[in-house]
Amino acid sequence: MVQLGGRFFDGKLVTGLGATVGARPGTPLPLAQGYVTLGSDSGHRGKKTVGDATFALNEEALRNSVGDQIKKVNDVAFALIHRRCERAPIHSYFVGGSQGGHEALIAAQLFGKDFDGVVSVFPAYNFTLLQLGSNAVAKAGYADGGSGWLSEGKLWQDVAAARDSRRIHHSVQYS
Amino acid sequence: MLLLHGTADESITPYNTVSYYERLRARYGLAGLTSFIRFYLVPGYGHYSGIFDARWDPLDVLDAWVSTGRAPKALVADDANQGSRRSRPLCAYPAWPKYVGKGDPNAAASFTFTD
Repeated sequence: MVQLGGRFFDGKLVTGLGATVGARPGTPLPLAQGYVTLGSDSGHRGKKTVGDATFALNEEALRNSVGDQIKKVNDVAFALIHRRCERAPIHSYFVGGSQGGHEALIAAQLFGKDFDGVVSVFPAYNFTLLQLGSNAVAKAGYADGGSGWLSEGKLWQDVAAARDSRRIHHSVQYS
Repeated sequence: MLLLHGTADESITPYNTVSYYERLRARYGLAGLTSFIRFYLVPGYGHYSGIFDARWDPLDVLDAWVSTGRAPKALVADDANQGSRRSRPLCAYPAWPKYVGKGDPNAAASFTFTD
């Protein structure tokens, strides 16, 4: 079975019916490959406002969103598989990108006994500091009237100079 | 664990994941860490897209590792951009794919792993 991650603030439901991050266009969906697939709404109902975190005023919803939902949903899936198939799944995996990748790290770190393996693609972990880091980049870009901004023209000049000095193959450097 | 991040990620800097991986390495040591994790830093891959839209069927790779106990080797990612026929080796960090200097630059076979 494989749990698919991905949602967070918006509380939308990950149905488990879609493709996994990084799958080739022609690869059969996990469901078609014979996996039991599952996902969750990260443990709270969604609000339409982007970035609305008022759900976190509820202690259980907060704990769900930062990890508990992963364990709860997996436990329910295990129970349903037992009831339906009268045995445990062969393997239990977690796959996700971005916030789903963050959840894959949580699955491995907090609930390692529940998963045989995880895939974490461009994880959005350390979320608060990540956002503050972006603010620092923006501040640097706007500082001193934008003098630190690297124009595309200047960037290509520098790349070309570096290429010439190191004799790097043209088609590789530019591709 | 399979961990992957693109160098052209416009939403989340890949250095966030590099930093995470380096902290794990300090904690577990290289031998301990590579017994359960592979980290791929992919040139040109962004956030679900990018100039090199890397596709590598990670669920299949993970299942093969778990089922056989043999860690993945010589993985190749294909570029899913329309009309592209590019492929590149996925190099376990800190290695990166280096063009060997001859052959088709769109073919993974024309690249080596370089630390």
